[in-house]
Amino acid sequence: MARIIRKTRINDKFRSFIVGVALAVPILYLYAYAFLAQTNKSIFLIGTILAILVFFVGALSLDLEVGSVGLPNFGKVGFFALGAYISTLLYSVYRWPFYYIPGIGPIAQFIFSCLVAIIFSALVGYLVSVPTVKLRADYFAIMTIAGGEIIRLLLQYERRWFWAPAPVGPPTQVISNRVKVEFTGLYPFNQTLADFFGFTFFEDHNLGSIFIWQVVLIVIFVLISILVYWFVEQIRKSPYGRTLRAIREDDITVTSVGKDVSRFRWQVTTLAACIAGLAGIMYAMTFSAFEAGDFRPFLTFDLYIFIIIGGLGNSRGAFAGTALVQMFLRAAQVQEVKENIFLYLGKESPLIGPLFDFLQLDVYINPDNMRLVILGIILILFLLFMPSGLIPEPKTDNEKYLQYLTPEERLSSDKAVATRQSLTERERIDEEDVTELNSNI
Amino acid sequence: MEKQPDNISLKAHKIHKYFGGVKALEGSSVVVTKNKLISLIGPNGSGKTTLFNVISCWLSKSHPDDFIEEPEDEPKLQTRILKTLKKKFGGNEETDERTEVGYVDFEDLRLDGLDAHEAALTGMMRTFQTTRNWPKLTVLENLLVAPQNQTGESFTNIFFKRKQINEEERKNTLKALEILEFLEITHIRDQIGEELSGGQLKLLALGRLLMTAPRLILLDEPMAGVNPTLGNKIMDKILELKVDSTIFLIEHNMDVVFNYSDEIFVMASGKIIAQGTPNEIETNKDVIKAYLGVDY
Ligand SMILES: Nc1ncnc2c1ncn2[C@@H]1O[C@H](COP(=O)(O)OP(=O)(O)OP(=O)(O)O)[C@@H](O)[C@H]1O
Ligand SMILES: [Mg+2]
Repeated sequence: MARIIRKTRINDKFRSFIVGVALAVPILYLYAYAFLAQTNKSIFLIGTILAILVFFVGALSLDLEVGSVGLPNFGKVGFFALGAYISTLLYSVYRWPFYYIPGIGPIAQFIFSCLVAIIFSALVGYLVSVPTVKLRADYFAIMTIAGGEIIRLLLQYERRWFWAPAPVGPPTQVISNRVKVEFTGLYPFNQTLADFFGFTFFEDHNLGSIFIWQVVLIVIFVLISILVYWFVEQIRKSPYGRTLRAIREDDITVTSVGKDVSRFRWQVTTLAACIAGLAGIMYAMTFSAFEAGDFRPFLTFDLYIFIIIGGLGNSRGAFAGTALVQMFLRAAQVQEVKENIFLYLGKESPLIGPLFDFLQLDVYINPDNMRLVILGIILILFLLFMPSGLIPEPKTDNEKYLQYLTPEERLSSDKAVATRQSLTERERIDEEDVTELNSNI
Repeated sequence: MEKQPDNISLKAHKIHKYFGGVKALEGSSVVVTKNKLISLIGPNGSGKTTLFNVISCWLSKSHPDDFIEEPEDEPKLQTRILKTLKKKFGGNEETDERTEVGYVDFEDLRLDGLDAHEAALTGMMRTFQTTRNWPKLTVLENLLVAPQNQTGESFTNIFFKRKQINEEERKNTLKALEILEFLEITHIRDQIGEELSGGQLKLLALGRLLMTAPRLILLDEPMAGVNPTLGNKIMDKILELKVDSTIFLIEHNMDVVFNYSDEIFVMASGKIIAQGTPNEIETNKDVIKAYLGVDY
């Protein structure tokens, strides 16, 4: 029995490995191709890393809701938008209240704007959760989609508050985040290195030049990601997380043992809103200029693709999914990839040429114009054949609890398991004998 | 409310429940004495589960006047037999004041209006007719989720009260292993919920409920679909629980009900038509059978 279980586990792992390789190799190839075609290679790489980190934090937020408690939140993008807008408007546009204090002004303003953005996201998350967490999963999904769209439309059409006032003329819809420019300036990083340390690695290897802010951002983002990752893992491992999983599987039973399911749900929704707000702040800092139109439901769907491919209910999976898909998307947009990696379907193709000639079709398929199709196919394949994703949620095992026992208690419990096992085996055999007897009569 | 006698665990008085046009419960009353095994029997669809649902606050009871009755020329034959039966065997007496609103008391607590999870926190636990479990959690975890008000279930405590959480986890683990041993299912400790058989699930549901040390246990057909040997085993375990708790049992297996119960309530079409010790019910079996048309 035990052997059979272990065998299937290894097979599962092996399968994940094969699928992972099958997915990663073409994507890495594509990415390497795009990378080598760049004139400024480091910027390309850093752009990808920043995007991965931003969306990783977003994916963690989504996975906390979807993977851990089974609340399909489709309005995640709304909290991205809130985080991005509030932090940027406060810091870069309104500059109220600390900015003009000499000395610490800008720093205080920056911290203040981030805190307000996160707290406000949490507040909205709580308000959205109160009427919705008691709904069935599908209605919850519909409600959150609507909630996310309402937030976006407010930001888009409420010009008085959410549009950036321009020096001349009407306010503009595009908001620009000035955090990185003001804090680190646009000093080239390579030059700094060369000036201080005589380090010319970048120039020597023709990797292009990068700016200080990019390096600073990466460091900060990595720290934030690790912190959020640690935070989410702590929750998952605790009795709290165990109850969350129980709620995901059957909330009625959880209620029947005397736990307030809605409390758990609104707490998680609120916390996830905080994290999504944080991801929004990171988004604004990374992409600098954005507008309400960037926060359409597609962004939420992207996050879903990340966590489904990576594996629901599992933070490492969220990272793997985000990294792979982001690399694919980034690489696919590169001009050289579009021009050189393509499939031509038209009257000159062999075999199907006449058909396409008759249809008067001339199609160039490249990774960029096919990216949604490719992602869609990958997603469907995963949902059908590997619903637990590349890195499945770790199977719960009792080791975690049995370690609390003293060695003697542990031993006696294990012995009891073995005794009972052989006992029931015997009982079963006895029973079978009895039924055989009965059927003979 | 007047104070309940100390030996009464549960008192449900004149409970009505209507589902649209269906009268699931029509003023049924039950009184459950402490440390006894009380059974509730009746044909399919007679309202037993509904009564449990109302008692455990999963459903709110209806106001007796909520049901709009269509005028009836003549009481139906069934209604007349029912009345005669009730007079004879001391079922709930019919009162004329239709507006009397029922209530549910658990020990000194009025349960009406509580949420289901709040009712469960009072020390009254229930199982469901269709066995429920958490399929992806191990059997041990299935038990560990159950204890109420765990320190580790508060969000801030995860980060600030680790030591206390670890101690509690240890305590609960020991308790869970003890319960597994008591139910004789230690061998499935490491299996996950979805790998279990129906009978094992029934035992697991019982174990989950024991983790909370309930004073009153409502069991909805704990033996349905279980082979007789295991059924008897479950029943033996349930009997052992009588020392600490009161048991209120819905069961269709008449041998079990008549052998083990201290008192039996008979329900038909949402009404308690008879109550008494197994002997009393047994002697009236024929009449009840005549009314119900089944072997009760
Ligand atoms: N949620 C519901 N909505 C509508 N009608 C219901 C609902 N629950 C129960 N009923 C009706 O109430 C009546 C009593 O149902 P109940 O489940 O209490 O029966 P029961 O005595 O438990 O039967 P069984 O022995 O088959 O479990 C039935 O007529 C049933 O159709
Ligand atoms: Mg029932």
